[in-house]
Amino acid sequence: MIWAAAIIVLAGLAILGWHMQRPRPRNMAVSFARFIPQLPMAPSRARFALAWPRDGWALACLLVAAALAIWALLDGRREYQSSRPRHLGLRVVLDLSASMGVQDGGITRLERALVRLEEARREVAEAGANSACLELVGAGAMPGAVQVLPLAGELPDTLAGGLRFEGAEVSSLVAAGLLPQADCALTHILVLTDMPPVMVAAGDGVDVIWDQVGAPVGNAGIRQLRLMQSAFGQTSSEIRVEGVVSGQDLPRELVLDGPSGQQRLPIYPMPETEGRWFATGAYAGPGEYAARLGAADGYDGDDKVVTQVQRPASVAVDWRLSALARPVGLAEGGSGDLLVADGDGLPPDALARPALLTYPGFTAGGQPRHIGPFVEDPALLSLVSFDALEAAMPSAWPGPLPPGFAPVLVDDAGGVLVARREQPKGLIVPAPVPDLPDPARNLSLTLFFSALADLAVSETKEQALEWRDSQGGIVPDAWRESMIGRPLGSPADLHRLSQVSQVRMGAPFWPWLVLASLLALLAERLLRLVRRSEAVS
Amino acid sequence: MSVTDPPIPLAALGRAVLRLRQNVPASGLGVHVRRRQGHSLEFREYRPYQRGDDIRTVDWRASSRMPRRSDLLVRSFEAEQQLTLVIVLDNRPDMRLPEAMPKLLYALWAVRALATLALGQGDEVVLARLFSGAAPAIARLRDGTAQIQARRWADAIWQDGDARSGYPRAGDAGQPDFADLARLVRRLRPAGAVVVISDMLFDDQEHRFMQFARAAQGQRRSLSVLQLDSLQHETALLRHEREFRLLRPGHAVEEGTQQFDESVLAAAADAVARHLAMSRHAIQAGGLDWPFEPVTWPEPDLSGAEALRSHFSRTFPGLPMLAGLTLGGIA
Repeated sequence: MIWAAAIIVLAGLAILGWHMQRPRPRNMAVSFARFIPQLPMAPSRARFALAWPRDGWALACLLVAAALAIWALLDGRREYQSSRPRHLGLRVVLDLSASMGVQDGGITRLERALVRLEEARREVAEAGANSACLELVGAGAMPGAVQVLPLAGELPDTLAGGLRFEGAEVSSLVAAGLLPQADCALTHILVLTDMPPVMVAAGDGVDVIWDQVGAPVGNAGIRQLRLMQSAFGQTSSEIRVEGVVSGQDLPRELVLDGPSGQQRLPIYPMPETEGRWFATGAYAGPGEYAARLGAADGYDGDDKVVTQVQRPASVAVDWRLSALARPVGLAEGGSGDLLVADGDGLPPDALARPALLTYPGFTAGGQPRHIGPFVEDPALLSLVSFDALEAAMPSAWPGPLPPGFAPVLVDDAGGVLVARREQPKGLIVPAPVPDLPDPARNLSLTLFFSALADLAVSETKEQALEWRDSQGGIVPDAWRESMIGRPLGSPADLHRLSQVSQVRMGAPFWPWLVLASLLALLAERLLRLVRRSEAVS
Repeated sequence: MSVTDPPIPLAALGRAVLRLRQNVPASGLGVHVRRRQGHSLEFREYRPYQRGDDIRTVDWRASSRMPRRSDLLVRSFEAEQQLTLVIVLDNRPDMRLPEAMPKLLYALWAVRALATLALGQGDEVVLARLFSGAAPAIARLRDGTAQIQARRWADAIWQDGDARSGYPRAGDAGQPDFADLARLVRRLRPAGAVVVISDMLFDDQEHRFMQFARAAQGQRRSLSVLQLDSLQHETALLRHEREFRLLRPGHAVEEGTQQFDESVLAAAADAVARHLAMSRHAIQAGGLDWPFEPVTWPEPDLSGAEALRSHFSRTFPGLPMLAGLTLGGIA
C-alpha cells in the first residue's frame, strides 16, 4: 500500500508541476516581419508559477488517466447487475412416481407438473439470455436418464404417459437433480413433484426451485402386515396390519383374505402415532393373505397388499427348571438350544451357550429394602414396578457372577439381583415362585418371563408385501406415495429463473481501467493536436 | 485528392463567374474582351475611334493625318483565336504564413482554378514561380494532361520547404532569389494575360520584378495582381500571444522575449502600406489590374485548413479579376 500511495503522490506532483510551469514563449513568424520595428522586451518571469493551467481539458484528461491507472494498480473490481442473464441452464426433475397419477381438480398431478414445465420453459426462452439450455430428468424409485428438451415447440409425447407405477422418495428426486452435468451448464434445477420441499445443496451458483404440485387428496394406505406369534403358546397367533391415513378420516374396516376365508377387521388408530392405524385378524395357518381397504380413496396403489405367511417357527429350549413346567409354546430342545436352569451347580461347559439362569431370590419372608444402581434394560425391567420390588426384595445372587455376566440391577448393599451376558446371550434372574403371595409371585414370574421372552422369542418380522392397484398391477413401494393428503405449499415463483442472474457479480475490472486510462491519454493528445490544428500539413 | 485541389467545384466556379460578369462590366482591360474586338498582332484595317476602345490601339501617326484633330483612327487586327494566360506564383516561404491559413495554399488553389477556367476556354496556360525553388520554373500546360501537369506543379511548389525554412539561416537575405524572369518574359505572347498571385511584400531592391511587370504589360498584354493580405490576421495572432519571440527572416532567433505593442505594429502596418504603394507605382505601365481591395484574411478565431477552404470558396469566385479576364462561364 505504501508503494501505491507513493505512486499516487508522485503522479500528482508530476502532473501538477507540468501544468504549473509557465510555457516558453512561442516563436512567431509573420509574413510582414521585416516591416516590424524593434519590439519592446517582456519582463523576465519565473519558469514555474501558480497559474491556472492553460489547457484545463488536457489537464483533466491527464488527471483522469492517472487516476484510472492507479485504480487499475489497486486491482479495482466492480459489481454489476446484469439486466439480462448471460446464460440459463435449467434441469427439470419430474416426479414420475405413482402418486403423480392422482386426480385432483379434473387432471392428474403429472399433467399439472407438465403445465408448470411449459411455464418454466417459456420463462427461460423469454429471459433473453445469451445462451440457454433445458434438460429433463424423470425420477421414480430411481432417477432416469438426462434428456435434452427444446426451448420451444411441443414437448415429447412420452412425458404425459411416462408415469411409473412405483413409489419414490425425496432422495430419488434429489439424486436426479445432482446427476452429473452433460452439455448444459446448469444455473437452475426445478423439481416438479407432489412431495413437500426439502433443502437441496446443488453446488455453487445453482438455484434449486422446488415446485410442489397437487392439491391434498385424502388417502389411507396399508403400510405393513406382520404375523404376531403366540406368547409361549398361551395365546393364538395373529395377523396385524398397520397403515397410514392423511387428509381424511380413518377407514372403518379392513378386509383380510386368508387360507380359511375372509375376515372383516375393524380399524383402530394408534394412539401414540398420529396418522397411523392398525387392524388385527386371526392367523389361519400358512398361505397367501391379502389385505385391502374397502373404501375408495385418492390413491389406489396402496389399498391392497398380498403376502405369503409362513408357519411360525417354534422355539426349542433345554428346560431344566423343576419349579416351573416348560410352556407349551416352546419345544423341547437339546444341548444346542437355550438353557433354562437353576444356576447353582451347573458345570462350566453348560455356560458356554445361551442360558437363562435362576437362583432362589424371592422368599416368603422378604424384607423391605432399597434397590441400588441399575442399568436401563427395557426388555427386563419395563414391566417391573420398583416400588413393588422394594416391598418384596429378592435376595442377591449368591457368590460371584459367572464369567461374562454383568450386573443389571443390584440392591443397596451391592448384591446382584439381575445380570446379563451379551455373548453368548445369557441372563440371571430370581427363580419364578408361583406359590408365593403377591407381589413376590408376580414379580418373580414377570422377571422370569421377561427374561425368557428376551432370549427365546425373536422379533416379529415384517412380511414381504406386494402392493396391488385396483387393476391388479404390482406397485413397488406403494406405501411411499400414501401421504398425498399432506398440505400443499405455495407454488414456486418461476420468475426466479430469469431473476437469479441479476444477482450482483464481481468481475476483474482493471483491464477496463487500463483501457480507459489509455483513452484518456489519447484524448489529451488529440486535444493538443486540435490546439495545433492551425498547422496545415 | 491533392491538397492543392481547389476546394470549390469547377461548375460552381463557372456559374459564379457568369453571375459576376453580368454584374461587373468589363473594364476594357480584359484580354478576351479585346480579343473579341479584334486585338491581335495581325493588322487588318484602320477604323474610326469609338467610345470604349482601348486608347492604346489609337494609331497617333495615322490620326495626325486626319482632317480634324478629334478624328482618331484605331488599328483593327484579325481576331486572335487563343489567349495565353501566364500565372506567376509568389513561392517565398513567407507565403506559407500564417501557419494556420497559409497564403501559399490559397494561391495554389487560385492557380489551379484559374488554369482550369482558362483551359476550359481553350486558352493556353503557363505556370511560373516568382522565386527560385525546386519546382519547375515554367510549366506550359498542354492539352490532355494539362490538369495533371497543373496539379503536379502545384504539389511540387507546396512540398518545397516549409513556412520557417527561410529563418534559421543567419546572414541570409531572408528571401530567395528571383527566378529567371527574363526567360519568362521571352515566353510571353502578345495580347496575353499575366496574373501574379502574391502578398506583394517581397523586397525588390534590384527592380527585377518591376522590370518583369512592366514587360508583362507590353504588347497589349495585361498584368493582374491577386494580392493576398494577412496583415490584420497575423497582427491579431501576435496580439493574442502577447509575449513571443519574433522570427525575422535572415536573422537568428533573438534572445529574450518580446511583447506585443500596438504602436509598433501600427508603424509596421504603415510601412507595409507604403511598400505596397511604392510597388503599385513602380509596376504601373498601363496594363495593370491591381485592385485596391486585396483578398483579406479573416480573424484568427476562424483558423485552420477548413476555415481557409471556406475563405477561398467565399472570396475567389467574386474576384473582379475573373470578370476582367473573361474566364469561366463555361459550365
